[in-house]
Amino acid sequence: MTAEQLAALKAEVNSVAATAGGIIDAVDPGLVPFVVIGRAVAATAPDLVNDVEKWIESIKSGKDPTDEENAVLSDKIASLMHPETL
Amino acid sequence: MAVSVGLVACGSLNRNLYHAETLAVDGVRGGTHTYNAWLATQTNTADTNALAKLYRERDQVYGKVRNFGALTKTVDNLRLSYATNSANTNLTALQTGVTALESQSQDIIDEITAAMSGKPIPWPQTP
Repeated sequence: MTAEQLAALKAEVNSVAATAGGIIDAVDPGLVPFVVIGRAVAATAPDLVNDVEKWIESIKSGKDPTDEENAVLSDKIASLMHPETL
Repeated sequence: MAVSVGLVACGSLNRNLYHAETLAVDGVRGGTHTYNAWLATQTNTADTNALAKLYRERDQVYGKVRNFGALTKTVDNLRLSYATNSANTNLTALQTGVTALESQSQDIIDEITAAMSGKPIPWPQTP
């Protein structure tokens, strides 16, 4: 990703955040790079499309992953043993 | 596609580790998905020698993905063990494992990128 693309992505994230009530401003600044990276990867990896906003909220909550979340991750890990099916 | 993982100093450690694992796993799954789609187009048109090379590269990529999966499983088990009984879980080993996930996931993405671009791949070539 070029510097220009990254700058555009950051602008998009901040724009979305402003629309969503400044959620980025409410989160530790150290998390912003993860949001940007998540957006960048989401543009090319369909699995991550629904994850970025959930990440922000779940990290802010400070709660442990739920049983359902652990089960989803476990299934994804299991799928790695069959890369031909991905 | 660059994937960067770090452990942020907020929220539960279990939650942070969960997200670090998820990021690495989703990156590899997404990259492998893209590679598989690309490979299908290449094998439809390639000649015999080119096919042999493609399948050789495919086997090496898949091998690394499976190894990554095995490492991730180990790390995830450690994370769940930590969540249940942190006092009896080697936290250093867990954090080292998460760091290894980042390294291996990036390595896989780099190799897939190299394979799809037709560039020389940094793995052993059969004589």
